[in-house]
Amino acid sequence: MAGLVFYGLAGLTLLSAMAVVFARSPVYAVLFLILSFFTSAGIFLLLDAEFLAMVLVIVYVGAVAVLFLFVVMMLDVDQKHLEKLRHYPWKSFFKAALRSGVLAGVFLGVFYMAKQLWGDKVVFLSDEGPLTHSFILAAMSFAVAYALYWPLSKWRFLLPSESAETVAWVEGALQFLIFAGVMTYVLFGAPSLEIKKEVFDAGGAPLSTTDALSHLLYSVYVIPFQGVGVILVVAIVAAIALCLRHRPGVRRQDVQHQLKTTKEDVLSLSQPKVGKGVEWTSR
Amino acid sequence: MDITLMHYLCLSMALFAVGVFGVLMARKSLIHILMSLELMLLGVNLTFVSFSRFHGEVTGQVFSLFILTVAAAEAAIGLAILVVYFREKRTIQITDMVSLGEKVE
Amino acid sequence: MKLFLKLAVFGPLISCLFAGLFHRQLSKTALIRFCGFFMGIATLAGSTLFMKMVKSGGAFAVTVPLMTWIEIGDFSATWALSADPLSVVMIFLVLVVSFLVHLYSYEYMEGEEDLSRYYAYLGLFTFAMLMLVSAQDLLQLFFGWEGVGVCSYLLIGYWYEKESANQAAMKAFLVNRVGDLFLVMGMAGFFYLTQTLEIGKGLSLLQSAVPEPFVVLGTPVPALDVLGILFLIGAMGKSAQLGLHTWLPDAMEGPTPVSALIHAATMVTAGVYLIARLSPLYLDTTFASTCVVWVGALTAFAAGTIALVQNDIKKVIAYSTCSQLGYMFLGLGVGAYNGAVFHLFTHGFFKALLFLGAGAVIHSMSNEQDMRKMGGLYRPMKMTFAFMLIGSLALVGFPLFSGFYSKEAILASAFAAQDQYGLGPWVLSIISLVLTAAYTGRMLGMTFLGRSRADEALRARIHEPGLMMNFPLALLALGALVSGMLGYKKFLMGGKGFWGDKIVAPLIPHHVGIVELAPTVVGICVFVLALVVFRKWKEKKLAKSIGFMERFLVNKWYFDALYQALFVKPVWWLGQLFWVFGDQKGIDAIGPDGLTHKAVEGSLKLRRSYTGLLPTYIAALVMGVLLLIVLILFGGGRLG
Repeated sequence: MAGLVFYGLAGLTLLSAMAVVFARSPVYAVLFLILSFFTSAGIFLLLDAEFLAMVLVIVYVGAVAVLFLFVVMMLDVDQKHLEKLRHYPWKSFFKAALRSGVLAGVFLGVFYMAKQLWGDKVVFLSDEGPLTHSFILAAMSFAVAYALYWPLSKWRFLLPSESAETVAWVEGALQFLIFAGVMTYVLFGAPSLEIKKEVFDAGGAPLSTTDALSHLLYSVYVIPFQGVGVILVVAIVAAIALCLRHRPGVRRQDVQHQLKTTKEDVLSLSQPKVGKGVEWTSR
Repeated sequence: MDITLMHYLCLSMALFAVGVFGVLMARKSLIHILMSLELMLLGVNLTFVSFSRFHGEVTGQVFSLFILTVAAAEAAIGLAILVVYFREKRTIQITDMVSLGEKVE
Repeated sequence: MKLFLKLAVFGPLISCLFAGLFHRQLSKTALIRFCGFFMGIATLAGSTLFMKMVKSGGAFAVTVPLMTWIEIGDFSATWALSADPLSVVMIFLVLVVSFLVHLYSYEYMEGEEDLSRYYAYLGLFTFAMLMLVSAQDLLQLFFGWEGVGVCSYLLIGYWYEKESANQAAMKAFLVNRVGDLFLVMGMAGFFYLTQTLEIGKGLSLLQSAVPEPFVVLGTPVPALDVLGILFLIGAMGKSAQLGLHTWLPDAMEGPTPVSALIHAATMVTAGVYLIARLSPLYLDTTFASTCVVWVGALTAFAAGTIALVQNDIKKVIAYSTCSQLGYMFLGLGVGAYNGAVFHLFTHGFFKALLFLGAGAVIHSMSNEQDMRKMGGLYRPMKMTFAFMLIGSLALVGFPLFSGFYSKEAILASAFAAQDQYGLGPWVLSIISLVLTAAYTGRMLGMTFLGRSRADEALRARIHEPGLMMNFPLALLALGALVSGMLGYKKFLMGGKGFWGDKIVAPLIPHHVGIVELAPTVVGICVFVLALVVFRKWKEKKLAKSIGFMERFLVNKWYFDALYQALFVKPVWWLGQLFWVFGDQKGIDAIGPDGLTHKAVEGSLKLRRSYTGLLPTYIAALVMGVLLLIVLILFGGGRLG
């Protein structure tokens, strides 16, 4: 049951996160962001972090995401321009996907081989699901490598040659490097971080985490807590100062000016001659 | 099927990767980058929380809380800058922000 | 007399400084007046010294100590001017020729822009030469020796825009360095044996006790032999003897008056002077003396043969100089030191005369030096022809002319020395005498007789030189005429007569009959014959007459080619190697130049990575972080 909930929430979180990235319109993106916040709040709940889950909903969904929404709607973003820019290099996308699949296969093979050779020394993250995890890792490396594709394509001239072959080689090498790094970490680095293989049983917490959190926040971490408050205040001031502007020609009430005004400033006495009138002079 | 720590870690890694992907691949607007940043921070938060649960310590959640606040502040200031920038340039297109770059023929 | 000596030596220096320092303030006329004035005073003083010396019969000596130059422990070198018979003769010769060249140059170099530089060099040269001949100390002699070398270099390269002049100057300097190295080694040996560099003191020390032999390559060699050979090679470099003679013909790139002064009358005779000065040393070493004889005889012969085929009028005279210097060495070798110095003296006059006469020809021919384009010049240049004829007759050894007396003395001594050296040197010198007559006649015939081979425009410009050039020519002609007649009694006086104990002066033997007469008669006949034959110059006439030898001679015995292959090419290749591979491809390509170049190139390339696009920067950041993580992970979870 717990597994089903987790997988559901996790899948929904990832999907909505990807939707944030790929969404056509910024408004949709913000809405998907809100959705992913909600689902992660659910995952937080699974982890017994009910306070954080609430904060996530209140602060993120209630404040940050809405702020995003406001800004998106306030700004007059040229939709057509965005449409034009939505082209992703699909060809390299598929290439990278293929490569990731191959890498995942290689990874699995290497894992089983290493298991045969070194036995217990090789500690995979989870003995139960090497297949799932290796594919998740492959997808990750794929995502990073592919993500690096477009920005770094601007630097192609740094390569010895800008031919498609060279670029493909470099891309492959890049992805392999990332993947091999992650794999090495998983195979040999993990034990050095002393990750226990205990089953993480959801539920059955010894103490209410909200309780424990409040104890910690107001004792050990009181100064950082206050500091965070200061940061928030500064952020508010800064945001307001940045966005504040004086439009010329708009009449506003200026209290200081009103208070400083004296009789001499506004009153002038004159004796008009008959039939001539008074010439008005502004100060 | 038991849900292990690793499942949570993989989820957070995936979230983080999607965030990175969004930051890097988004050729759209600054807003997309900011949102992707939020996703990355969410992934980090998830790691903190799952480890805190794993170790039976709440300290991780404290940090998570701090991250949340800082992220909120960052989002506020980022959006403010975005607004000012938009007022100035009438665009928040990343591909338009190349005035600092080297002009290449 | 001390004052005169100082005047004689320092006059040229003042002239040099004047010309060098005040050239902006002075017009050319003023310049020659000042320089001529100082040179004139010096020449007068030198002449007075000479007269006094001749009158007193060599019995007078002056030494003017100027300062202590170097003082290290026991060793001290003093700077002193001294006048003994040998140096006074040299001083006189140097000053007279130098003064006349100063005058002559004014007209010869009239078109030159920086005449002051020329005069400064001339003055400096004269001063250095006087330092050389007035030295009582080998170190001071060396100073003068190098000084004249530098001035020779500067004057050969006077027209520095000319590539060939620069090369000739460099060649002269480098070939002289070879000789100078041996001179320094000789000085070191001299000092090692005697603990002094003073010539008189050292020589008497060397004579009083036979020094320990040097060990050369494991075999003991008598020390005096070694010294004699070292000084001989030193002298060979300066005096252009066979082997080290290649620079002298090339030195003709310099202005003609310079050739007359430096490369005929004075500097090249420094080697002869050195050996004469060290004559007591050579008297004690038969081996070195034999070497001197053969070097001289071979040089006289080889240079004479080469002179026969030269077409450049100056080169003919240059090789003639070489040949005559060979005669002097021959005389030195056979022990006729006084005869050699006497020949040096007379040769100074008539060779300077020939050079200046050739200069007059060249000047009027608009700098044409090729004799093939001359001919028939006696008609428009009668005076010059007369002077050249006097010089040639003196050179050939026509009776009563100066060369006759001096050359006869050497020939007679060579004949007399047959017990010691055999008849070889004498025969060679007789052949050389005939050769001398032949090339002199050829030169004179090709230049002055026959029909003019110059083109019309050039022929119209041919003219007699003016007074400033004629006067020195006339004076030198006078010297060439009478110096032998007047001087031979004094100069060739044997024993301790005129020369005192400064140089060894044997009694010159006097042979009557065939030995004395035959060379002279044959020489004159050949001279006249050459005059007549080469009156009409035809291409290949010479080649026909000497056949296969012609190429050998035209290529100057292949000395230049040999040196080119032996020394110049390897050094050039070595330099090329270091330059191209060591410097250009090594240090420049990798070192500072290459690095800066690569840095500029790289930064130009890297500059383009500054796209201004935010994702690009973030991607770089992510890449860096990933790289760091991978590094840490591969490093077993540790940093570093």
